[in-house]
Amino acid sequence: MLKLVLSRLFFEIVEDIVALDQRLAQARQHVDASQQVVVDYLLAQVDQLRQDTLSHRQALVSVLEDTVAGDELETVIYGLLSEQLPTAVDRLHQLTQLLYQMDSRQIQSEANQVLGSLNLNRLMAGDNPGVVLMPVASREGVYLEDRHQLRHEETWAVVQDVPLLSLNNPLHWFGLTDYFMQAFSTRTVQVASLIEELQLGFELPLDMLCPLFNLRLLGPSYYAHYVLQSLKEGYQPWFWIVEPTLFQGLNRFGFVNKDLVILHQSLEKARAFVEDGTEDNDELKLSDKDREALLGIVEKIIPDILAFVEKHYQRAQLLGDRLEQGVLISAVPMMVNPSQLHDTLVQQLASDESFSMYPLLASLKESPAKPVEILNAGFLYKLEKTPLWVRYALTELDDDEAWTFFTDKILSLQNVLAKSIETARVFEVLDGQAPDGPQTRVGGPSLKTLRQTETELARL
Amino acid sequence: MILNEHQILSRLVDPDPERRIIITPLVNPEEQFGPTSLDVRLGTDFQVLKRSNLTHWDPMKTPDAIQADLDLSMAHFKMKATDPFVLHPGEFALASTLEYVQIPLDIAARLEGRSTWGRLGLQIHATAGFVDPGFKGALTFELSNVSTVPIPLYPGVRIGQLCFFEGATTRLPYDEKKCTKYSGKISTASSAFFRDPEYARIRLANQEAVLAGR
Repeated sequence: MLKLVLSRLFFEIVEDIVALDQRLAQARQHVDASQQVVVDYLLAQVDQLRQDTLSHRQALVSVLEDTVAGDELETVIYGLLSEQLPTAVDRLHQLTQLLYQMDSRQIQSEANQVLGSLNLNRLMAGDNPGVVLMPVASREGVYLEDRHQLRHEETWAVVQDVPLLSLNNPLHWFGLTDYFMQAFSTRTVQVASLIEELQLGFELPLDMLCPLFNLRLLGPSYYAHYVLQSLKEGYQPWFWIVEPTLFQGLNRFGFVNKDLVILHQSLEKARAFVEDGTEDNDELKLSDKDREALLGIVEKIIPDILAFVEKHYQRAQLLGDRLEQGVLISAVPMMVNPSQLHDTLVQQLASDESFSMYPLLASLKESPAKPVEILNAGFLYKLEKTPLWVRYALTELDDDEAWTFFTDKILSLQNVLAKSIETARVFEVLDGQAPDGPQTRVGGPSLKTLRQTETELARL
Repeated sequence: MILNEHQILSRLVDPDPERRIIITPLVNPEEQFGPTSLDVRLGTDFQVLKRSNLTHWDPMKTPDAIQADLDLSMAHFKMKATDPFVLHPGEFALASTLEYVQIPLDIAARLEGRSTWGRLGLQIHATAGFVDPGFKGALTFELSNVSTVPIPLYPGVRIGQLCFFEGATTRLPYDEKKCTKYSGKISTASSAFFRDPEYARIRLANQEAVLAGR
């Protein structure tokens, strides 16, 4: 099972290196001559990082192919999980920091469509919250409340930092609601009072609920996103308390998926090899019953109408089937079996050539996919395919071929997801569906606005 | 043989995936079907040629240099669902279908304009309306406004129609033929004329001529 975690973690890092490479290629087109040399230096560094990352292929393949065992296996796994892969992540962050000053930092419009479709404003009766996406280099979280908040308590906004490498990667957009949900968890009176009623016997940090709310809002892929990002970046606070609760939430919310079960089971094995950072939180112990109660609160606070529910999961699975065929997933296919429709058509033609086709055509109509259904389909597809892709590339291809293979897979999946989100929005409009809720300031602000915000931040 | 509406429908729901025509999203089939055609919609991304000091496309440059010329010369626009792209009189723009299209190996298709738009002076392709068997991706529109009034084009409007022709199954699908340049594209793609192999040969011959002092 550990081999699955390892290959997925490896792929996450490859994804980030590809993203860095892409942003550098873009930067090269708009920077002035004096900065070209820096871009060229960074490109050379990224190339070195790519080579360094691929240099671990032998160790990784030995685990994937079961050619080592016992102590030797443990040593290899420890080396990969605790030293080699984290070193690559650190280097990625260093290079991203350097790129930050030269990057255009444009946020892909589809990211705003994802946020807009979540109707976060409807979570706050009478309030008027908003989320402003703000690109940051990486890691350094920026969180502030809008200046309006100083004047009107009921009006607030959250600035959500989006790491540079996630701006164009729809598979990373499961993190877009993090800061909103943190603020929501800690500021909503109803959340605090419901937790108090639980009488857990200890004080539960309310922001710990943030991933649970995200799971309810964003669907099962949030679980995998949370786990993989935590493993990649080093553990989140309360990871070992939150993760089992999230996993329990998958069952409760009807999100049964074998790859997510395998991911959960492999974590316990991985725990022995990594820093888990739980020493400060040993007093927080949640029983299954406590977890159920917490999930019940989450269900109560985020009603079905705003949540990602089983129906959406089923639609996401239908989209996943299309993704497998390389088809755009902007629309959920008709619910009627094509064979049935075909048989009906053949029968009708044989018996009555003057029959009207319109009832049959009506059943052919597709329905627009929701952005979060598209993201779930994409992430689950990636989760399923990653071990196969990594194993194939590292055992069958040389370094250059393997990198080209990874890059093709990553970029084509990202393109299909972004294009699907954009196309689905047009479909929604044509379908007469209401525009997204009045998200006060959802959207990528202009660079000028961002600079103003940064100045305000500095003043604060 | 050109497919009629029953045959098009039959192909869209064919139980055999190898024989099935895929067109998605199917926003409103009842509006899109005609006696021998299926309407297709305008997508969201557009490319137009910017005014620049580039005198011509020089196929004798290296492919990377020509690509760089193209990147610098083409302006890209991504329109929201509710915002129009305005095509001015005499202007030429590239766009693509909203739909992803997949054609089986025994079907070829033709992309045609709709008379509704033709009457306004909109042409949707310059010369390349033929779709090969095995094609997968978004189809390209080569838009021209030949009238004297600007035409606002909203994403999602039905500006074209596809008709389908059934024939013998090809063993050379579009995405497997040599030198295929646009297979699998899901967005508007500009010309890759310089990747035609003839140019590589002409460039080589030119270089040899220069080296030989001719």
